[in-house]
Amino acid sequence: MTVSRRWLEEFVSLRGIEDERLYEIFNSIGLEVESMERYDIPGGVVVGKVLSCEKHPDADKLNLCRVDVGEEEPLQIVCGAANVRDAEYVAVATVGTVLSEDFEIRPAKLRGVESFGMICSSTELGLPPMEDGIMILDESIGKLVPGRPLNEYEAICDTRIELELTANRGDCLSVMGVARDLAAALEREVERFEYRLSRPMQKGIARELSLHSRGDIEVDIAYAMAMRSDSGVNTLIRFRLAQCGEYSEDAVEAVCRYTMQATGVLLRAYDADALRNDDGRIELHLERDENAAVRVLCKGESISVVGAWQEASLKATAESAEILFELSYIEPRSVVDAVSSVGMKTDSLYYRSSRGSEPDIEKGLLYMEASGERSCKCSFSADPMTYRQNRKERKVAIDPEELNSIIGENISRSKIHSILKYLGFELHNGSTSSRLVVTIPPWRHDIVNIQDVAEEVLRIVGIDSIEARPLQIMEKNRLSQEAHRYIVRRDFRHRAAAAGFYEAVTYAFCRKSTLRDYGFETVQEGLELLNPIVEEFDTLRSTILLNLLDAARRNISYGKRRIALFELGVVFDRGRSESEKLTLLWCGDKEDPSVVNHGKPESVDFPFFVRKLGAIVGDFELRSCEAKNALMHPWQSAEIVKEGRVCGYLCKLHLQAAQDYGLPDTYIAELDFDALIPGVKQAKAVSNYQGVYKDLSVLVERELPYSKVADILDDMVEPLLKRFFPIDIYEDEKLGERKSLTLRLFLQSDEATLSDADIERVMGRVLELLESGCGAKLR
Amino acid sequence: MENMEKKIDEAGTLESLEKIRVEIFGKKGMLAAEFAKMKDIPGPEKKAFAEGLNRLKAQLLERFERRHAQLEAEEMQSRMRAEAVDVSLYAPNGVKGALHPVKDTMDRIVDYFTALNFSVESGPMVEDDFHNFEALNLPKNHPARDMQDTFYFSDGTLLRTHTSPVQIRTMMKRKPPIRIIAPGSVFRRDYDLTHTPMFHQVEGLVVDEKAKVSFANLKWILTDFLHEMFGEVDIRFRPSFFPFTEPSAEVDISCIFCGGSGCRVCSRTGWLEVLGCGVVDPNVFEAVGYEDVSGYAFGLGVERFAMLIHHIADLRSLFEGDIRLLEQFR
Repeated sequence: MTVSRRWLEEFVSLRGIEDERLYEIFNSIGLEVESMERYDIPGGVVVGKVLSCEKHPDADKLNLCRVDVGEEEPLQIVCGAANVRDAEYVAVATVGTVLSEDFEIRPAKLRGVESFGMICSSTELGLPPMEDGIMILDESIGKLVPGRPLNEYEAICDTRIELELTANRGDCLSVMGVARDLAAALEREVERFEYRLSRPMQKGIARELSLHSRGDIEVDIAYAMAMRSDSGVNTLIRFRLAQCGEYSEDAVEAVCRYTMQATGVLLRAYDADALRNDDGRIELHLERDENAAVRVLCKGESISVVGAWQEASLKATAESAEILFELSYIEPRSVVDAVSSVGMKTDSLYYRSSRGSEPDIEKGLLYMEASGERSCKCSFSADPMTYRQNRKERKVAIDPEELNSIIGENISRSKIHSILKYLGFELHNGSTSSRLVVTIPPWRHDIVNIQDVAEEVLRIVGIDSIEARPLQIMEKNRLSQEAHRYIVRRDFRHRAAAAGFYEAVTYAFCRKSTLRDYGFETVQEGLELLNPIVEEFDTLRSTILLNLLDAARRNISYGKRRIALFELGVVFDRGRSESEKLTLLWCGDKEDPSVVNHGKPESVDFPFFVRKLGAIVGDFELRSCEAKNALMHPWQSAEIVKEGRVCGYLCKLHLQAAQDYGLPDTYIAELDFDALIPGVKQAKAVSNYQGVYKDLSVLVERELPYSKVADILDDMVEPLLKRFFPIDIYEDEKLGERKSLTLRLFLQSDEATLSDADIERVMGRVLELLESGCGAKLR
Repeated sequence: MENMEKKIDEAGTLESLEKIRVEIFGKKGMLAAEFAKMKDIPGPEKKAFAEGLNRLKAQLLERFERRHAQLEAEEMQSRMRAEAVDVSLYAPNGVKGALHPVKDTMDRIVDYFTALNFSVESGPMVEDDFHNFEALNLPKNHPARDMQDTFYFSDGTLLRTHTSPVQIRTMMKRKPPIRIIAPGSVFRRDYDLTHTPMFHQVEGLVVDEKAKVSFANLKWILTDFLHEMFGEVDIRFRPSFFPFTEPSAEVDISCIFCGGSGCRVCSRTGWLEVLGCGVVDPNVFEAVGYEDVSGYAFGLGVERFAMLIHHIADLRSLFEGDIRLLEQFR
């Protein structure tokens, strides 16, 4: 919403309030100032009266003007604008005027003719863009005296203020509405706007128009007729409309926009002739249709729906001789409900009506008549034709103590009274009881209950004057399950970073076809995203891996050679159920080039990636597994088993996928976060007897996975065998189809020092089991 | 004798010192030879001779041990010299990864509120109209719904546009008093230089008995919180509007880039908007079936905080796993 200081002053006195203070007040009462701009017209720009205007002898597009600027001799000025030919008063930048940093007016010769000054357009003066060509002045901005500096004309030495309104403040979608709020903040009265038509039309409107209605229809509506004259729009209105980006050269359109901008009353204009029936009369019917929309019908057709739209073909045009103006008000809720229940088309006025336009249509009428008569010499019908609804007053009871408890400050009863009065609330004498009953101003449809009223009091008192107070609370254990998960999540993230991974945050979206191509599940039909923003995010992701691969590809293009990324985030299954994954990717080099690796770091490999993972999630087992999707390498994929539970997989990236994404060697892993949340561990007693490490080399089938060997020894019931792990694998031609596997076993007793016989017995059993279990032979 | 002392002192290595030790103290050494002379010494002089010899032995021994310790220390020193490393070659660059600045900022925010005895809560990203809008006093067709362009699913559900539905879910499953924050991802259908379809919010909600929780309490905690996050900044509360709070306010901090004098980042206003907050609207309490309670709520965008705190200019780069950005946070 754009207002201006001078325009506001039509409705409230701003005496003694500088622009800076105005800026502060607006912000403090919740009308956020988006921008504020003061128009400073340079001192040398004066009013000029064009005495004559002839074509330049040598240039078709130039005009040779003689302009009176209050000096003895008129100035000769060459002007290129076409509209100077009809101009009487113009703005002249005299010789010596500095219009901008690098633009000083000097005597010049244009195509051989001398020119002493420049006739200016509005933008050359730093004003908003108005008419094509030069700015035309008239006495709407004050008495025009040739030679008088333009910056003495207060009407255009204005400050433009752009306010960012919140959705509830439809009442401030007008200069008058903003002035009303400002008046309350300043504790000043709103100026009453009065106007009497100076030359009303002879015939009364009733002779031409009748308005029929059936039953109680909840709108206010008024019609006025007007005869258009040929004159255009005056300087002041053009200037103000240009300020708020509503500039129009059409007189009727300009009056409508100007009135709405000033008062907030909905205003439409019709070509009266188009509405007349065969008898030359206009018969209008107000009707509530089945969707509760209020229609205006003429000759059996809807000419408008109040607050929503107007039949475009009936709109007044520049050719319309007689105009029918329609001013209206409808409750925002009813027009919004009516419009959205059938998806009705709406026009630009709907923005106002849906947020709450000004209910006092009389104010709109007066302002329209004033600006129409003054600006474009329209003559209006003496009295309007109106329909008024039977509006109920809305009241709310307020307990000042409760109001203060909402704000948390002791604001006196009289202060509350005064604020509400200035805001337009009507106070009912509740002085005897503690409760106060107030009538809500009709333009404040957003106010319903005591908290709404508390907000009004708070914003006028100013949040700055409220003392901040800590809340007294009861101690309580608030370590909820989610709080605990948050801590665990953070723990894993810190460990991943410590292990060398960078944390990525990517969108929870993915491209459906890509998910399918790589064999991942997608959200099922019927649960799909209806309005994706771009094709590459047309569904919810079921894996984070593809997002990380995209990120890896980007990093490759940035020249990165070691790309280690992780993300702990949410994925969605077919049924859109959410689960959390810890997803990791290591692509390219193991480390940055350095003196340690002589500038040639090795490529990431399986054991390296596994070690990195171990540093993050702790001990786990690896079991070779089938590829579950097309990202997994068929011969380097493993399930991650933690405490007997499969909690995800890690693998080398399938070479095809690596090729698709343009990546060097890459390892990936995706783990279920829930499976990683650690439980409470219980310690076992540590034996103080000396243990012994024994190495055992056996020959096994080359294809035999180590996990088979481990399973056999895991199943063995032998209290002395505490631990075992592989330490070497050896293959060569002499071994043929077999390989040599060396295990290291740790033997220890909880009760005594081990004897050689004990050790021999256990080692014998181990070998026996391996022989029978997987055909192992001692090497 | 003096000769021996000199020999000990002049031994250059532990090996040569060992040779001298054998020469002096060995079975066939000088001292042994001297002691052997005892048997030829007449009785009365024997004692004095023995004493003299023992004194000499002690002197030599002390001298030897001193020299031995010296040489040992020298040898260790030279071994260490041989181990010299140009430490400046080995700065561990790129060994550690880094946390994402948005997540890290979220952690800091969560830390503040958990230190003030807030609990952490979460909720689903796929939400329904009731929790995301209706219960938050955003009825269908409300103009404020326009503020949030929503992703919808074919079954009528949606991606939550804010973390506020967690308020509703928490209140519906728990009795007051409530004291929670809800960090999480939210989604809006907006994608340009300053908007991403997903971003992060932290929501706060405090509910207690009627007339207990006030706007003044909200002002206290948010003022303290913003000082914690941004240091010594000026803080400004501006009345504003959110459907689910009344009174509502937006909170600004004085621009941390220009100190309030006006710059490009603050659009020359000197202020940066960082938070929205307010006293919970009675319609919200009604929607969850709470009676006779009072409360406040607030919400903030984590990306905005992270970008301001860490001077990150490009919002979209935050979602691209861009190592050039992330490695700066090692």
